Order: sequence, then C-alpha cells, then structure tokens
Amino acid sequence: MAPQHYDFLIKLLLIGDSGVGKSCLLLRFCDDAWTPSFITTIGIDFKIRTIELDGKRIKLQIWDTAGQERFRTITTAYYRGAMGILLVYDVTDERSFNNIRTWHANIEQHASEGVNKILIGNKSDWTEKKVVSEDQGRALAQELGIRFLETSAKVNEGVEEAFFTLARDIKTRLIDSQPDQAGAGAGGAGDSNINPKQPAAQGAGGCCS
Amino acid sequence: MDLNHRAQQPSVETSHSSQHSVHSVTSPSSSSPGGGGAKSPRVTHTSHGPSALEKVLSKTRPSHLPPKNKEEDNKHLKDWEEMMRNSRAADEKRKALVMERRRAREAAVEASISTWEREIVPDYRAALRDTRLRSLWWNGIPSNLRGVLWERAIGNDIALSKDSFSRCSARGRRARESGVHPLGPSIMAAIEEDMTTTLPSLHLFRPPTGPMCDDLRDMLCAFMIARADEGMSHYVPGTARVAAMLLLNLAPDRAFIAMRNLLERHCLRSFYGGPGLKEDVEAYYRIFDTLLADCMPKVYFNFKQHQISPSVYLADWLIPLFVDHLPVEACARVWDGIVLHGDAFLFRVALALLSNIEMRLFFPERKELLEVLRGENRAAQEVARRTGVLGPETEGAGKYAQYGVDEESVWQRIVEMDEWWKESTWTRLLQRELPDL
Repeated sequence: MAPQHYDFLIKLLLIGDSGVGKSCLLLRFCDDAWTPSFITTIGIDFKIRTIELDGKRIKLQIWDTAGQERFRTITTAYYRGAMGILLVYDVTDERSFNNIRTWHANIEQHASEGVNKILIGNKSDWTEKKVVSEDQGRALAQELGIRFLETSAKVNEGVEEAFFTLARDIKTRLIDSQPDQAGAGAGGAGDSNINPKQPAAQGAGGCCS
Repeated sequence: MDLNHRAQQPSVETSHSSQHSVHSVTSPSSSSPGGGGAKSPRVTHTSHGPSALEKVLSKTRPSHLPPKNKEEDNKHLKDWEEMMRNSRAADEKRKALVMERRRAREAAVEASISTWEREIVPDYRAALRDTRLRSLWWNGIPSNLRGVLWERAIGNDIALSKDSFSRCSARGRRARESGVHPLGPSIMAAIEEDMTTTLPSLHLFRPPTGPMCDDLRDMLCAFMIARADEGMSHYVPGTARVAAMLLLNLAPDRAFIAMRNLLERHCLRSFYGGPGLKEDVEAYYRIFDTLLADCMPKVYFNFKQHQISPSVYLADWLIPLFVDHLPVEACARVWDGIVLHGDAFLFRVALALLSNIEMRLFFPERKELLEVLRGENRAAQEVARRTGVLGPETEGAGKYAQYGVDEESVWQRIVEMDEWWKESTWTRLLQRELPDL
C-alpha cells in the first residue's frame, strides 16, 4: 500500500463574477509555492495544494468555476460536498461587488448548511482604479456574517492568508469538534470527503509526495 | 440572344446554390433586358476579361460569368448589404425574445421553489395527478431539487440497500489492490475511453484531471460489478453518460441506486441488455417507426426511401439518454420528463429531436442524412460556426447544438406534441410489439 500523503481532504470553491481574478488567486496560491498537480488544457477545473495546520496535513482541493456558472445544471455538483467558499469580487469593479449578494443567495440555496465562507476583495494593488473601499467590503462581510480580506493575486498579498484562514475555520468546525474523525462529512454529501482517502491511481493524489 | 440567354441561366443557378441572399437580388435582374451580360458578351473566360479591380468589385455575380454593369452591381451590393443587415437585426431580435422567455421561465421556476418543497417533494406523484403541479414539473425542476426528485421518481423497485454502492465499489477497489480486477483489462479500458468523451465541455469527468472523474470511475466499476453478478458483463459505451448526469445531481451512493433502477426500466434494459434482448430492441425500433410515420410522415417517407431505420440512430440517442446530442441544460430538462413519465417519454423526446431538425432531413442522399443525424455534416458545421451558433461556448456541448437545438426548442416541440401524443397509442403499440411485457 502507498503511504498516506495527507490527513484530511477539504473541498473549497471560488465563486464570483467572471474577471474578478478567481483563477489568478487559484494559480497564485497553488502554483507559486507548489508545483501544480496538473494543468488542464482548457481552463482550470480544480487544483490541489496540501498545507500543514497544527501538525496535520490538509489537502485542499480547490474548485474554480471557470466560466461554468452559466450551466445551472451543474451548480449542484459544484456545491455538493464543498466545505468552504471564497466569495470573490474585484475592488476596481463595483458591479462585481454588488453581485456578491446574488452569489451569496445562490450559496444559501445550493451549498450545505454551515459551509464556511470568506469574502475576498481582489486586485487590491490597483489603488488608482479602486472603487470599492475596504470599509465597504468589511461592512458587507459583516452583514453576511462572514470574514473579509483584501487580496492581490498579482503581487501576492493576502492570498495565503485568505486560504489559510478559511481552511483553519473549516478544520475547527469539522475536524477539531469531532471526537472521531470518521463521518465528519460536510453534510448532504454522504461521501466521506473529510476522511483520508487512498491517493488512488490518479494524478490528483500524487501531488504531495 | 440565345447565347446571351444561356449565359444568364447558369448565373441564376450558381448564385442560387452558392449564396441564397444574393440570389434574390440577382435573379430579377438577369431576366430584365438591361442586364450586364448584354453589353459585354462572353469575355470573362479570356485573359482580356475585366480588370483585377473589377473582378474584386463585382461581388454580386461569380467572376467566370459576364460582368454586370457597375451601377447595377453597386445597387445590388447595397441591396444585399441592406438585406443582410435586416436579417441580422431580425436574428438578434429573435434571440433576444428567446432569451427573455427563458429568463421569465427561469424566474418562474425560481419563484415556485416553495411550492415544490411543500407539495411535490413530499409526494412526487402529485405531479402526475394535479395539472397545476404537472405544469410546474414541465417547466423544469429547480436545479437544487433535481437530485432528490429524480431519485424519488426513478424509485427503487429493485430494492437495493443503501450501502449497495459502497459494497460494490469496495469490492472493486479490493480487487484492484490485489492486482486482479474482476472486470478485466478490456472493460477497464472501455470505461476509461467512455469517460474521456463524457460531457467534455464541462471539464468535470475527463481522466485523469477532472475533479469528478474518480467518482465517475468508482461508480462505473461498481455498476459493472453489480451487473456481472447478474450475468451481464459487457460494457455498453454510453453508460458513463448516464452515470455522469446522475453524479451531477446526486452523491455517488444515491446516484448509483438511481442508475441501477433507471437502467432496469424495460426499454433501457433492452438497449443495455446485449444480444439476449435483441428482439426487444427490434420491437422498440418498430414502435418508433410507427410513431414517426404518424408524427412526421414526410420524414418517415424520406427515411424509408433511403433505408434509414431507427436502428441507425435511435440507440445513439437512447443509450446515453440524449447526453451526447443535447446541450446539458436541455438534457437535464428532458430527464425531468423521462424520470417521471417513463419509457414513453424517451420516444417523445426522440420525436422532438427529429422534429427539431426536420428541415435537414429531406436530403435525397443516405450518406448526407446519416451525417446530419450523427451531427457530422461538414456543411452544417461550417454554417453553424460562421453564424456563431457553434463557438467556444457550445463546442462539445451536444451534437445537435450546432442545429440550434437547445432547451427551449426541444421543449417547445415536446409541448406541441402534447395534443397529438396519446398514452393509449403507446400502450397499444407496446402490446402489439411486446406482448409479453
């Protein structure tokens, strides 16, 4: 048997208007400090990065909705089993900020209850074009009852923090609170995403050896 | 004059076959006396023909024909441009209208969620009894309830236990680890092959990188193991489509039970059943032929003329449950009908597909007809690309997307058929062709 590569698998989603920089955040987070587990030929579907939190190896499987929001049919599949969601807007694009409420409503409808969320204002480096202030972002996050961070995928600011904060919240909710690791799935899914999986024969498992 | 006449005749013919829009401009002119051909007869084929510039400028008549006079040519070009502009505007308007209708319907579906949760989720059969609820169902199941309602409507007649998936997939995994796969290398290869072509536009299932490809593989292995127990050990290409569509809406363990039950329904069971059920499949072909003759006699007649029987195309639609031919949204929508109304609905969808592409089914040639049915007609593809129907957005999103077949158009045909369709006809045909059922 192959050795265990990680202790937990966490599924995260990046949600938000197109062009806000979801894919860039993903690339920055997964590729900068890590060899990408793969690069798909068309768009990005998901990427993997294994991080260490409190001595546990946590494999983050991050799904990027890469333009597929237009398919209503697959939203269910996207949200199923997701444990954390990054709601992303572009600080230089007011519309993307205003649309966050719609995305949030979408999450309420499709995602499992109690899923951890974080609001991300991306492109914070672009100060001269900034139209959504940090305070506005924070106020919205407060209203939605979620965390908030500004990031810049370009200059690598806040990106690590965003993913780590979310991962830590999820770990606290799902793993630390469970006396027994088993059966700590994010509800609804029924499949034991959180359980250590064998790094099966696919490339997905081989990223962190 | 006779010569001149002959020179003009082909000009009409050529413009007709090459460029429809231009044709309507040129044809009246070619019969009018002042046509360009009268002034400079038969010079185009020689090197003394019109200058290179003129050749470029004359856009309303093929260059190998006598040129038109400049004024007329300019006028025709302007007319043509005007017509194209109008046509584009009309196209935009039509598209906007369809979009608007779609948005209105989606909003209605969204608004009806509470009714769904209150009245249909507890008892899906209400949608069969109550016309109000039936019309809700016909408008499409809200995507967040689709999984659970498909599951209910498909049911569990073969009484699989909740852990049937985990048991079957664990058997598969154990065997793989010990190096002997119970399915054998050829079936595993067939599964991989089928996966790579499953819903490619979603990028979800393609091995090895698709985020849901592990789930799909597990499900297909479990399915094949369960089937092997029952003596059905050949892999039917297209199985992955059904599994994928269910996985989009349900977690693997529930999707597995739904899949096993769905493919136990008589018609699908026959198509998935292998050589032993060939006779039943033939019976279903005869049933479809009868329905087609009644519903679209002209298409039926042309098909008969060119020996195109349902055996040529029907299995391609039914086995993957339309996933290969319809855009994913449209497909999910027809599944809403299939899970509720059973086998009869498969045939209604199939008829609706033919009706959607009816205009293309009058080719006088078998080869061309087959290409159209397979979605591999080069001419059609090129037109679709040029007009933007087929682009990066729709590439790989259902073979009939290039014909403009989408959720609204398919459903429109199904609704139009509602008057004509009689459940009693279906029952009678079943009794006639499959008396043992």
